[in-house]
Amino acid sequence: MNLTVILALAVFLTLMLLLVVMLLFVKTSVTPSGKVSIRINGGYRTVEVEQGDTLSATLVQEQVFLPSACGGKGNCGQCSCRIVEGGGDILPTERGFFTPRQIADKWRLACQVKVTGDMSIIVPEAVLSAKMLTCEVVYNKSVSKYFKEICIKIPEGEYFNYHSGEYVLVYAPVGTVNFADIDIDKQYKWDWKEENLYSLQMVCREETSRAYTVFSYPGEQVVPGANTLKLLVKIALPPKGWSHPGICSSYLFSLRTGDKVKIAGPYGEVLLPENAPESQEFVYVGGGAGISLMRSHIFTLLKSQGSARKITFYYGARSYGEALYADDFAALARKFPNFTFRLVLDVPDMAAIMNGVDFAQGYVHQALQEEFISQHEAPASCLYFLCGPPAMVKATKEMLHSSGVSEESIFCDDIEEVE
Amino acid sequence: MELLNIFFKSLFVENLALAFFLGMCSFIAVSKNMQTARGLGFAVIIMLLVTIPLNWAIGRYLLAPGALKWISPAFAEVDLSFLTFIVFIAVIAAMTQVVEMVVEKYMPSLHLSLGIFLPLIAVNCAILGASLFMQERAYTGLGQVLAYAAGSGLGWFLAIVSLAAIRERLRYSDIPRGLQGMGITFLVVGLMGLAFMGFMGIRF
Ligand SMILES: Cc1cc2nc3c(=O)[nH]c(=O)nc-3n(C[C@H](O)[C@H](O)[C@H](O)COP(=O)(O)OP(=O)(O)OC[C@H]3O[C@@H](n4cnc5c(N)ncnc54)[C@H](O)[C@@H]3O)c2cc1C
Ligand code: FES
Repeated sequence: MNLTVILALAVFLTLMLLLVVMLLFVKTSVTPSGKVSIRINGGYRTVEVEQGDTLSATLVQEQVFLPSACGGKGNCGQCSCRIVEGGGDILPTERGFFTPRQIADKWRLACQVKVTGDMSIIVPEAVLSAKMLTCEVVYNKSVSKYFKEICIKIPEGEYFNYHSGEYVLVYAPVGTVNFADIDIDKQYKWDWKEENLYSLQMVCREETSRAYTVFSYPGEQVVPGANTLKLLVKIALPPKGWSHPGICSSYLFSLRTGDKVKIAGPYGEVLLPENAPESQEFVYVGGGAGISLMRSHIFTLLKSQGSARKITFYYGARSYGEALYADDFAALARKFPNFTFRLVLDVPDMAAIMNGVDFAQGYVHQALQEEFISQHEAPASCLYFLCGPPAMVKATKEMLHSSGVSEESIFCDDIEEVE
Repeated sequence: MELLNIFFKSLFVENLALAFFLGMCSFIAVSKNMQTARGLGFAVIIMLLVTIPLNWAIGRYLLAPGALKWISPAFAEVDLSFLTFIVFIAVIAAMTQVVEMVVEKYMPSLHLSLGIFLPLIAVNCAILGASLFMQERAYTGLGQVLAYAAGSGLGWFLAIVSLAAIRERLRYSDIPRGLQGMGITFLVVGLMGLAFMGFMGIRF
C-alpha cells in the first residue's frame, strides 16, 4: 500500500515535471524573441518593439491607443487597422468584421494579430492623437429614469482636444457595484424601486473598456478654467434570462463627485463636414441615445463656431419624460433665430401639455415630411443627419429617398440601444 | 490485415463523432462552413496522432498493473491505473501547447488555417475519449495504436467535413421554423450516425 502511494507520487510528479520542462524548452526554442520594428502610417513613427504579444497590446506600450470595446476578445471590431506589410493572412475570426473590399485593403483586428516580424501598419489619424488619462468626476446626475449625465475634468496641464461627435473609451476597473449604492435623483427613486433595480449587482472581473460619445461641445465651460467632458450614459439593464447589468454603464452610474476615472481618446469618424457651404441647411433627425451626438453637433455649430447657417432639429421621443434636454433645445431655438427645434412625441403627453411645451404628434419621419419637406422649396439641397434607434433611422431614410433626397446628402448613425 | 481492420473499424464503425458522439460541442459549433471544419478536423488528426501513442506508452510502461516491473521486480504488484485520467488530461493539455508552438513556428500556413482551433482541442472530449478507448481495447503494439489513432482522427475529420458540407447546403433549403439552426443540425447528425452504422459489417 505504502509503496503504491510513494510510486504514484513519484510517477505523477516526474511526469508533470517532464511535461513542464518540455513545454518550457519548446517555448524558449520556438517562440520568437528579439526586437522587430513597426512602421506606423508610412513612417510617421517607427517603433522598435519586443515580439510575441498582440499588436494592440504592443502598441499600448508605445502610447498608441487603438480603441477597444471588448478588451481584445475580437468581438467588437473597434481595434481595426490596416496592416500593409507583415502580419500574415487574415484569420477566420476576423473576417466577419470586414467587407471583401476591406480585406483586400488589408484591414485587420489589431487585438488578433500577433507581432512576429517587421510590420507596416496604418491606423486612423485620430488614434495617434489619442491618449490615456485619469480624470476626476465633477458631477454625476440623473437626467431621466435610465440616463445619467456625467461630467469629468481633464487633469490640469494635459492637452485634450476633441471634435464634435468623437467618443472616448471609459475603463471600468475590477470590482463590484451594488445598485443599492448608486445615487439616483429623488424623482426616479420610486421607479427604480418599482422595477426592483436596487437588488442588481455588477461584477467586473477584469478591466473593461466601452465607448461613450462626448456629449459636450468643444469649449463648453463647466468649471471655470478647466477642460471638461460630459458623457450621457444609459444604464444597460439585464435582458430577460440574465441577471447582471452592463459592466461599464453600471460603473459610470456608481461614480460620485471626486472619484477618479480612466479614459482614452478621443476617437471617432462622424465629424462635422467641414466643406459644406455656409448657405446649406443642416437638418438633424433623431432621438434616443443619438441625442449625445446631435447635441454635440448642434451646440458646436451654434455656440463654438457661431455659425449663421440654418439648422433644423426634429427630435423624436416616446414621451416628454424621455425627451432628454428638449427644454435646452427649445431655449437654444429662442436664442438663435437660425435654429429651429421641433419636438415630436409618439402620443399626446399630459406632462408636455401641462408644461406648455409645443410638440407635434406622431412619428418623427411623418412630422418631418408634413411640416418640413412638403413646405420647403428645395428639400434636396439640405444635408440630413439621422441619428437614433435603427427603426427610426430607417423609416426616415426611406421617407427622404422617396422625397427625392439623394444618398450623398444623408449621414446616418444608427445607435443600437441596449435594452 | 490486422492493422487495416483496426484502421477501418475506428474510421467507420467506431467513429468517435458519429458512433460515440464525442467532441460534440466543437463538432456542432465549428461545422458551419467547410473551411473551419477542415481546420478543426486536421487539428484533431494531429492531436490524436501525437497524444494516443504517448498515452499508450505511459499507460503501458508506467500506469498499468505491474507496468513498473522494468524498473525493479519489487514493483511487480503495483497498480497505478487510477492515475490514468489525470495523467492523460495533463499530457493532452501539454501536447496541445507544444504542437501549437511547433506548428506556429515551422508551418505558419498550417497554423493560419488551424487558427484558434488547436487550443480549442485541449478541452475536446474526443481526444481524451480516444485515449481512454485505446486503453480499454488493449492494443498490443505501437503499430496497432498508430492505426487506431490515424483511423479515429480521420474518422472525426470525415464526420465534421461531411456535416459542414451538409450544413452549407442546408442554408438554401426551406426548413420549418421550429427546426431551424440547432434542431435540424441534431437531426442531421443523428441520421449520419445511422448511416455510419451501415459500415458495421466491413472486415478484411
Ligand atoms: C462609438 C460608440 C459610442 C457610444 N456612445 C454611447 C453613449 O454616448 N452613451 C451610452 O450610454 N452608450 C454609448 N455606447 C454604448 C456603450 O459603449 C456600451 O455598449 C453600453 O454602455 C453598454 O456597456 P456595458 O459595459 O454597460 O454593458 P455590457 O457589459 O457590454 O453588457 C451589455 C448588455 O448585455 C447584457 N449581457 C451581458 N452578458 C450577457 C450574457 N452572457 N447573456 C445575456 N445578456 C448579457 C448586459 O446585461 C447588458 O444589458 C456607444 C458605443 C459606441 C460603439
Ligand atoms: S478589441 Fe474588440 S475586436 Fe479587437
